[in-house]
Formats: sequence, C-alpha cells, structure tokens
Amino acid sequence: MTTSLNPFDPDIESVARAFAERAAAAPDEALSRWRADTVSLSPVQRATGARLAASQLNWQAKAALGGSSPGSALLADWESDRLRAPYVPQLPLLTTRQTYAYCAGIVLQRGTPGAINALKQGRMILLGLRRETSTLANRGRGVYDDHIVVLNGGDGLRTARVFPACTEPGAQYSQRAAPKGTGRVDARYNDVIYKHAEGFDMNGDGIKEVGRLRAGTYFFGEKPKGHLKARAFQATRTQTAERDTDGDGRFNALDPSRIDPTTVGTTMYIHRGGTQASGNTWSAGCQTIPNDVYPRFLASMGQMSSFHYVLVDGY
Amino acid sequence: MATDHRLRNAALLLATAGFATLASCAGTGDPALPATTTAEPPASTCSFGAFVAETDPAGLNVRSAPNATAKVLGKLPPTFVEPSMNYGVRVEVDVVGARNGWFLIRNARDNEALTDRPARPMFSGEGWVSGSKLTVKSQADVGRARPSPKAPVVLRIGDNETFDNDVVIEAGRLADCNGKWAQVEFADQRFAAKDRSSLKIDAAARAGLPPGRFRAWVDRLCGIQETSCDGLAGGDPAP
Repeated sequence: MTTSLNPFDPDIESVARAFAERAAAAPDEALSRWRADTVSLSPVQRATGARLAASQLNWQAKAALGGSSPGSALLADWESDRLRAPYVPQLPLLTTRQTYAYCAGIVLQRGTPGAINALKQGRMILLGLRRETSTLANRGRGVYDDHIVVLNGGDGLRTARVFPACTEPGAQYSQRAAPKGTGRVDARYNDVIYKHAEGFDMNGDGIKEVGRLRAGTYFFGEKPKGHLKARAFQATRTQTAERDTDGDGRFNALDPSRIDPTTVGTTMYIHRGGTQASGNTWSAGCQTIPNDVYPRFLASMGQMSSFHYVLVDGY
Repeated sequence: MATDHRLRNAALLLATAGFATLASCAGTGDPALPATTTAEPPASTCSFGAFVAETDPAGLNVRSAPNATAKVLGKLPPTFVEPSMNYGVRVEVDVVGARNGWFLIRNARDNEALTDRPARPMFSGEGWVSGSKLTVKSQADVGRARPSPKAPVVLRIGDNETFDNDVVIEAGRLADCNGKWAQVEFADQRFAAKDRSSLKIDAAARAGLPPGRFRAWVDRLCGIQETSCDGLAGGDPAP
C-alpha cells in the first residue's frame, strides 16, 4: 500500500513521517513502501525526503533498519549525505510546500539542536544557502547568487520566504586589490574595483585576507539602533570565519590557516546590501540582502528580534 | 518634506560645482597628484578611517594648518542625502594625525556604492580639518579612559552593544587620536531620550569637560559605511 502522491506537489513530509513511524516495528515494510513512494520523485525531492525521514528515526528504528542489508545501505547513504554539500535548487521555482520541505530537511540535517528545536516548535528561523562564488566575481563587488530563507512554522503556516542574498565577501575589500605602483598588490586582482582593505592577516604574510562566515548555526539578535537607518542583525556569540589565505578568491582546503575563530567577534551581520541593479552587494563577509527586496525581508520576519541562522555550503 | 529634499539637493549641486572649481584652481582635485605638504606636524599620529560629518551645503574646508585661520587648501562635500534613501552618506577620509582638536587627513573620497552616483569632485590631498566635523564607526563595545585595552572602561552602551550603530556614529565627534585609537566626544543632547537612558557613563568620562559632554577612547575602527569590518577583534596581525 503506497501513498498516492500529487506528482506536481508531492507531500514529502508525510512520506518521510510514514517511513519513520513504521521503521522500528516493520522495517522491511517501511523500506518497501519508501521505495515505492519515492521512485517517482526528483533527486532533490528524494534527498529532501531522506533528510526529513532520517531526522525522525529513533534508535530503535535505526537498529531495526540496520538488521538488514538494504536497511543498512539506506542508513549509510543518508549518513554520507550529511558529509556532502547539498545541491541547492532554484527555490523560487518550487512550490511553497516543496520549498519548506527542502529547507526544513537541510536544517534538520545540519542545524544545531537549538535550531532544530526551534524549527520543530514552529519558531521562525533563517536558513542561508550558499553557492560557492569567487570573491573576484563581478569585479569583486559580490554576487547575489545565494539564498536566505525565512522559515516560519508557527500556527501551521509552514511558509518559506526566499530572498536573494550574498554570503561571501567581494574582493573590493581585499588588500590584494589595493593599488601598488602601477598595478595591484596581487596581479590576479587587476580587474577588481577596489574599495577598502579589510580582514585579518592569518598567515603572517603581511596581507590581510578577506573572510566569509563559516557554515554552521549562529544565534542572531536585532542590532540596537540600526545600521544604515534600517534594521540589521548581529550574532550574539563569537562567529567563525574562513579566510582566503592563498588569495585565489576561494575558501577551501588550499588555504593554509583558513579557519579563524578569534578575530571576527560578532561583526558578520545580516544587513541590507546594494540593489540588484547596482551590482554591488556591499559584503565584506556579512550576509547581505538587496536593498530593493530588503523591506520584504524585514516584513517576512515581523517583529521577531532573535533567531537561529543556519548557514550551509551548497552548490 | 520632499520639497525640502529638492531644495537641499539643488544647494548640494551648486556647492558641488564650487568644490570642482576650487579643487581645479588649487590643482589638487586629481587624486593622482602628490599630496599637499602641511607645515605643522601632528602632535599625535594615527591610522584609521573616519567620516566627514558636515551638513553645510558649502562643504568643509581643508586647511594647511590645524587652526581656523589657516589657508584653505580645498573643500569636502557635505553628507549626501537622496530622497529615496533615508540615510546620509558621508565623505570618507584617512586620518593620520591630530593636534589641538584638528586632524590631519588625506585620501578623501565619495562612497559611490552608497550614493549610487558618480563621485563628487573634492580635495583629496593632505590637510587639516576640525574634529568637530569628523566621526568614526567603532566596533568596540566599550569606551576607555586611555588608548589602551587595559585602560578603565568609562563608557558602555546598553547591554554590551557595539558602538557602530547609526545613533552613536551620528552623536560622536573626534577629539584626539593615537595609533588605531580615536578619542570620541559625545554630547548628551545628541542622543534621543530613549537612547540616552541606555548609556552607562563613568564620571571620569565627563571630567574636565563642559556639562553634558563626555569622552571615551575607542578602537576597532571601521572605515566603511556600507558594511562592517571583520578581523578587527584580533588586534595585531599574526607574526
């Protein structure tokens, strides 16, 4: 007996819940039904269902599933999914239900217990979905190719408001782009429209490196008295940054001394950025949302003044 | 309200034309030209970014010495306010020294990211401006009695709030500087009543000042208006 799914807007959360409820008592039946229910789903929907289901399995269910080879394989596959960067679909093209399910699945899989509890209790939380972008892109002025999603599960709403965002710094704030002689400090930055040098010299080479907020969960509160005459949000505890120490525009394992847990403090805010038309995100590491949609972003948050922000590196 | 903005911006346009003329006459409007040499050395040296808090459409005079009668080298445009924005954009400068409440600045520039317009012509060489026309954005959460992280705390805002909010930036004016530290002077009346109540001011911050004034030293100075600066909490770079 399988669930009849709407092919255009399948109720993935129900499928996941049904699997989790049966897994402990009847693992084979649960597996069989899972396969039938998910065979017609897209890869993104199937991954979403897996994340939702995995988050609901108790130890008895895991033990029962682990008793069979197919069950073990499924659990191993789901576990390994946690270690991979998730694919980030074009969320604005998804239905509200699909968007909420996708985002909830990501939070349940990668958020801290505090964020997960907040989600389960229907409290509003924010999810940042980052697509890796070079700091050198757009002549160093940043790209709004990430998403910040306001998830609201309160009163059965289950809404997910998606906003374009930038979660990585632009090279316009890199010391490597600063003028030196007739060129730049680093010739790779010749095309960058330099603004100001920020960051911290992690590796002692005499050059400050720009940083981005490291993926993880951070608790934010409203910044008192505003920023640029608008509401803005500041972390309540010290944040961790990744720094582009080799200056290639990327934040990855090629950067020695990449992780910086001390020099950022709570300064990587969520605030308004330049408009989408202006092509400047104003991000030196902050999470910025275009000025032209920022009022809608604030409206979607209502009067909420503190929240969990789960930031994920995707692709 | 909209009419006020139009009148104000018309005045700004006229004033801007004036800056261009003066800068051109002085031969210092081109950032590529060498910086002007000023006769009097600063009493203290420093290095951080600050913002020009000038509302007079005629702009701010940059002088050859730290006093109000010294030769005018050029002008800096006032805060830019555009009707569709509800915030003012200030000219940004590098501060390199101070003497008697005057500050030696250089490299003045517009913030085109915020104004969304071509940069206004302005004097970009080296010269002196009054500290009463400069403000800073500090990401510190305390103000101290001296320019040292070990000095006593004399000023706090709210519950460990950082100083880089609109209200504090607007209320502060530069009094002195030392390295990466700025001494900022505040006036009670520049804070709205609801904001004033959140200030925690030690008596030492008011010592020797006229009633209603207080001063504190702050570090973690961020020279960007449109966003915050990361990396300031780390102190000196890694050896």
